[in-house]
Amino acid sequence: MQVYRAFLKILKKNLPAVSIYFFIFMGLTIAFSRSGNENSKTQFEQEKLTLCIINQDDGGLGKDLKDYLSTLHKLKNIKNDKETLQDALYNRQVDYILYIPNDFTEKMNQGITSEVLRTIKIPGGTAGFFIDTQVEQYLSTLKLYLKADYAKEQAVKQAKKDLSVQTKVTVPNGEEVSELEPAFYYFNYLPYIFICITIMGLGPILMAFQKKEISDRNNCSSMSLKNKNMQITIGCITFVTFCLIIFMFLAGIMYSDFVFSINGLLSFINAGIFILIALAMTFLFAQFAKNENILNMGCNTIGLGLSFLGGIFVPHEIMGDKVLQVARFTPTYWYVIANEKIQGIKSFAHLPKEVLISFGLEAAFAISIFSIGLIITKRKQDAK
Amino acid sequence: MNSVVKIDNLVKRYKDLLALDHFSLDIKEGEIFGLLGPNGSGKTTTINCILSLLSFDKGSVEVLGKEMNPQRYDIKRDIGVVFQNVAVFNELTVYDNINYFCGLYIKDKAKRKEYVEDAISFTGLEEFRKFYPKKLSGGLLRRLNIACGIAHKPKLIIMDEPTVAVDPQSRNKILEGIKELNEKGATILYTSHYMEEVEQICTRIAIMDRGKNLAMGTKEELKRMIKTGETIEIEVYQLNETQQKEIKELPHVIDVKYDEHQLKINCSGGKHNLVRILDYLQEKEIAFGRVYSQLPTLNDVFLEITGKELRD
Repeated sequence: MQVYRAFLKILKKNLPAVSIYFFIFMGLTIAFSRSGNENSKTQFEQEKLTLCIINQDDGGLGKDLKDYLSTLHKLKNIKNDKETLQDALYNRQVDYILYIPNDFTEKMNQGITSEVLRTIKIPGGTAGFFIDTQVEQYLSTLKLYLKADYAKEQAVKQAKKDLSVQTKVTVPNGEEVSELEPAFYYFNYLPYIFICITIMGLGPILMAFQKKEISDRNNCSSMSLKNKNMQITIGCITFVTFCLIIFMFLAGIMYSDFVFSINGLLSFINAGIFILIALAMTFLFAQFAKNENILNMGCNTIGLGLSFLGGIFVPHEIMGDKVLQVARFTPTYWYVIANEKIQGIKSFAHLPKEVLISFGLEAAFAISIFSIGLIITKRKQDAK
Repeated sequence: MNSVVKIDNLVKRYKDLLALDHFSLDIKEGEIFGLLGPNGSGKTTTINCILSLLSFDKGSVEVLGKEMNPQRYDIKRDIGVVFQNVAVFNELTVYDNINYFCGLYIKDKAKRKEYVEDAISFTGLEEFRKFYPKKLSGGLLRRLNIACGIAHKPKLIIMDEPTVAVDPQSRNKILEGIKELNEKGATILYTSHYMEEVEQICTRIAIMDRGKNLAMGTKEELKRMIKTGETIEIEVYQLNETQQKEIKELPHVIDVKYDEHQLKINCSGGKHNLVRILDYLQEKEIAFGRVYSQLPTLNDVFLEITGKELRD
């Protein structure tokens, strides 16, 4: 096992560089999986702001407006003093100050809605526009009912009723939110890490063995080519197995409930197949890479390219149809599909066929990429 | 003596380029056989064909009495190669590199350890065993390259220009080492475009150019193949054409050249050539300075056979 031992020695020499990648990616994955969890609200909730309303109207409609706004926002009582009010706005104690003048009801009855109120807002802030729109909506609706000869109380009631109609907003996020969500993100980012770590960890070793001078010297030796290739293959498998174990071990520590469930087992299989794809890609890429700079470049291009295109960093739901059509030709797409479907599985009996199809397609990708690498190696040999 | 390498009518083409043109060679056991030729003459291609690293279009290659092919691992066991370019792992130390390449031939751990130590001591790398190749000087790197090629104690050692870009001190050490390996029983095929090296260590030499074997023999035999037996160079301050003609008519003189006060006379083998020429110059009262006389070199042989210098 001379070649295998040399393989491990070279790997050991490269390990500090790989470890840096490992820790950076690990940190990012954990951060992403946490932020992914926090940002994964699937329901829209209206923002509430802090308002100060100075109501000087004695006709009643001012009070109704105040009541209406209190259902949408938080109201704060502040002394009606110019300086105190300005300070409150400056110190962000309130986001908006609304003056309802004493002739407000009178003007509304006359059908005047423009410039009947006075407001003070934070300059450049969006909060002012938001409340302006709501106040304007209320006044327009109320005016409509008053013009239609509704009694004052009835008009207010109808206006409030109309404006209470809400549209349900659902943010597209694929599956339902579940307790397993952090683990989903952890497993979703794994392909990117696998691609980078295998290219950076195994690429330099494969390149060293494929260097013309070394390869010639190896081929001149009394050890058969088959034996040498087998030992290099065992070396590669050792590395990817080690990586897989490490990442599963960490997943086990962070998301133990998930990892020791049927979902964890299927995620492990999904990751296991994908790391073979990463290995095949490294094998293929090492045939072309002439030096470590090209290896670095390839690592970033392939890793980021496949991650963005396949839906690792960007959910499929917000990707365009044409992009998705192209994405189907990437292994990362099928990995993500499998990962999404795995989250909802409760038992093997309910295993969706999409998961098995994705596994099969991923394996087909691994075999195809590896075969292309072998054909290129054979052609290089034949060219001699 | 048995043939260690026997090449018969080898033809190798790279598309339209004929790299080896019916090239034949027979290296006997115990020889240091020199393959001399300018860059691009086909030396490395010949070596790669011997090692089955390259396929060839026609001819045959026998090594240690057996026909060579990529699967003849039994033959490969007895071959050591030192390539022109340093072939070591930059990620392994000096010791690990030698141990790795030796391990491709020697499975027995204890024996391998002994062989690795021998190779380290033979190449004088004792102090550098824990060094990585990038920390070694050019000369030391070449020595490591040699150690990796010879550690398994092969019967046939093929060295492809092992002294390229090496300082004179390291070069001498390498050449002495090659002689020592030969004395210990190894047959050596040595390629170079440095004629001095080949002349210094090789017992038999083949001169090749454009894929052809132009001449083969010991250095004395090669030198006898050409007309020039002695080259005399004299610093002469003034010499007219009549005098040049008269010198050319002297016995054994083949050719006379006079350029920038240097008179160069090629003579065929014969005694007293120098005395005869100096007598003529004194008789004609021609003032002269420094005088050199030298026997023909392999460069003269190459020049006469091909019409060009070895390093052209």
